[in-house]
Amino acid sequence: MGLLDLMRLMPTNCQRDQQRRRRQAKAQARDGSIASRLKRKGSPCQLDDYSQGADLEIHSGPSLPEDMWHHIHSLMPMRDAARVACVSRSFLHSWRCHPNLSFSKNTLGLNKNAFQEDKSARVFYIKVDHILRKHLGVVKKLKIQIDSDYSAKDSCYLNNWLQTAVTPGIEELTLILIPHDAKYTFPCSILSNGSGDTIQHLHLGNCSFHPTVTFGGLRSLTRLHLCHVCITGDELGFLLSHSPALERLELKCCNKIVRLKVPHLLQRLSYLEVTGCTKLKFIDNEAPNVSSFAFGGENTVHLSLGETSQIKSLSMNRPGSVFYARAELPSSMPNLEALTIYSQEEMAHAPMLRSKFIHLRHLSMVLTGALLYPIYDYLSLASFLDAAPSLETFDLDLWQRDMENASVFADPADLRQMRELQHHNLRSLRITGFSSVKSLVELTCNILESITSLERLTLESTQSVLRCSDRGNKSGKCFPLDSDILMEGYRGVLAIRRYIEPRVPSTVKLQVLEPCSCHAAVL
Amino acid sequence: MASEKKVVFLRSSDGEAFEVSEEVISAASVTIKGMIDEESPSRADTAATTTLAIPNVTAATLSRVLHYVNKHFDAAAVVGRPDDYIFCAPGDEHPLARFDDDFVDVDNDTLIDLVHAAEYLHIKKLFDLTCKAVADKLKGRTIDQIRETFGIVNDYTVEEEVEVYRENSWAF
Repeated sequence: MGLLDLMRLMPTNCQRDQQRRRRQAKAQARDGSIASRLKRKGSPCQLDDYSQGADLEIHSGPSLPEDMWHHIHSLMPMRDAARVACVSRSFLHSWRCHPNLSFSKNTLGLNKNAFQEDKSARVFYIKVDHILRKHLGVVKKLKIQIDSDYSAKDSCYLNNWLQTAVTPGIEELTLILIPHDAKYTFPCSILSNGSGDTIQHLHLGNCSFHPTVTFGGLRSLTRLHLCHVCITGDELGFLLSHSPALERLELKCCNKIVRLKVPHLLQRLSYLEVTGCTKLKFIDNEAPNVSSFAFGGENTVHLSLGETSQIKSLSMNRPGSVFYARAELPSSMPNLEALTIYSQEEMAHAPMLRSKFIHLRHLSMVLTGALLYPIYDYLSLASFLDAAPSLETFDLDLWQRDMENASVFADPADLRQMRELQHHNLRSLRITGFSSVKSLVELTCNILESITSLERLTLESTQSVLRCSDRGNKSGKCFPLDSDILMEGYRGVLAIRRYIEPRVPSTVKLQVLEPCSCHAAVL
Repeated sequence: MASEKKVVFLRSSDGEAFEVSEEVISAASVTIKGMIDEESPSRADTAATTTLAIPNVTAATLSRVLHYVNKHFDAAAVVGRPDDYIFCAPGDEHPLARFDDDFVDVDNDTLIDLVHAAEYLHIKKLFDLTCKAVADKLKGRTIDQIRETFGIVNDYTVEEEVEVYRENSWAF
C-alpha cells in the first residue's frame, strides 16, 4: 500500500491505457530497442502531426502515474495549477479538483493589467464565478479576498461562492473584504451542511458574523481569527462554547465586544490574542491551558486571566506596561519564558525590586514615543536583567525623537555604575534605534561590564521602514528619514565608537549598523 | 534485549546491500518497519542480521534515501531543540531546511526516482518534500517543456486545447 492510497483519485480507463503505453515505451527505451528520443512540439497548430504520431512519443526517463501527478498538482499555487491544466486532459481534471483556491486580484493576475479600477473588479467577479462553476470535488482551503469595488449587490456573488465551495471536507476558510466601507454578513448557514464539522481554521476580515442558537457547533475548529469583525460578546461566546477543539483564538479590532468570556470547556486553547478591540471592558478567561497570551488595548480593560501560572509567553501592549510587567508579572505569571512589551507611555521608571522572573529566557521591548516626561531612564531597565537569571536574549527596539538634550555628548560627566548585575546567562543583546541618550549608553556599558556570558551585541541606528535592500523596493533607495532622526543615528554611532567599543571584551562580538548611505545626501 | 544498536541490511534492485540502524529506518519507513515486524519472530533467537530485499529501488536511489533518513530520523544527529523553535525569529530557518533544499536539487529523473522510492517505502516526509520539488519544477516551465521533460502525452484535440488555453489564459 502506497502513500497515495490515502489521496487517490481514480484514473479513467483511458488514462490507464495511456499510462501503460508510456510505461511500455519507457521499458523499450531502457532496453535500448529505441535509442533516440523523439520529440514533438505540442502547440495547438501542430496537432495534426500529433494525431498520427502520438504513440511514438518517448520519454527516456522515469515517469509518474496519474494519481501522483494529481497529488503534485495539488501542491502548486492556484495560478500555476491553472496554467498547467493545458498540459493534458488529466492535468485539466486535476486542476478542476484543485483543493486549494485562493482568490484575490493578485492571485488572479489582475494587478499587472492596466484595467481601470472598476473594470478589473468586474473581471475579478466573473473569473472567480467561472472557476468555481467548473470546479469539481472538495475544496480544502478557500481564500477569498475582495480588494476593491465591493457594493451591497455583490453580496450575492459572495453568498453563491461560499455556497458552492464550502462543503463537508473544507478545512480552511478565509474571507477578507479590504474596502473599509464594505458591508457583508457572513452566512452562517453555509456551515450547517456538515462543513461545520470539518472546518479547522476560520479567518474573517471586515464583515459581520452572527452565530446564533440555530448555528451548529464547529467541532473541528482549531483556529479562529476575527479581524474588524462585527460580532457581539454573546455571539462569540456562543460560538466558543460550541468549538471544543479550539487551540488558537485571535481577535483584532472587533469593536462590538464589551465582555470576552472564554469558557472552561476550551481545554485545548493554548493561544489567546486580543488587540485593538476598542469597546472591550473585560476579558474573563476560564480556559485552563492558555500558555500564550497577547493583549493590546487600554488600561481600562479588566483582565481576569484564570490560570496565569500556565502562561509561558506574554505580549503586552498598553500604557505603563514596562512598569506593570516588572512590578506584577513575577508573582502573577511565575513561569513566563518569553515576554514582549510594547509601550508608548510610562508613569514611572522600571522599579528595582527583589521579585524574580525565574524562567524568563527571552525579553523584548518596543518603546516608542515620549515614554515619560522629560526623559525615560533606560538604565532602570537593568532591573529586568537583575530579576531574570535565566535570560538568554534581550531585544530593545526604540523609536524616539528630540533626544539631543539627553545625549551623552550634552552631559559627558561620569557614567553611572550599577552594582553587579545578578546575571549569568544572557548571550545576546540587540538594540535597534540606538541613539546617544546617556542612560542608554549607561545601560549598554553596564551590561557589557558585568555580564560575562554575553556573546553578541548588536546595535542598530534607526533605519527606514522601507530599506534599499528590501526585495519589493523598486526605487533601490531607502525611504527618506527626517533629518533629526538621522542626526541622532549618527550621534548614536559616535557614542558607540567613543563609549561602548572600548568596553567590549574579546569574548563579545559587536555588530553595528550605521544609518544607510542612501541618506547621506539629506545632510 | 541487547543494548547495542541493531542494524539491518537493505538490498537494492540491482543487488547492492546497505547497512542502516533498525531503529532509524523503522522510524522513517512504514514499509520497512512492517517487513522487520514480520521477520522478527523468526530471528528472535538468532544473532544473524536481517537483509531485506527492496526490489523497486536502485542502489543509486536507495543510497540517497538513506542519506535523507539518517539526517532526519537519527535522533542523535538531529540538531536543534524543537522546544526552542517557537522562539526563533521569523526569518530563522529550520536547521534541516538547507539540507532539504540541496537534497532535492537534482535532475528530473533522479527526483522522480526519489518520489517513487518515498512512496514505495512509505516515508511521508520525503514523499512530501520530493513532490513539492517536482511541483516547483513545473512552475517555471512552459506547457511544452513540461510535456517534454516529464514525458506527458498531449491528449487534447485541437478544439479542446484551444478551449482550455482560452479558459485559463488568466493564469499565463
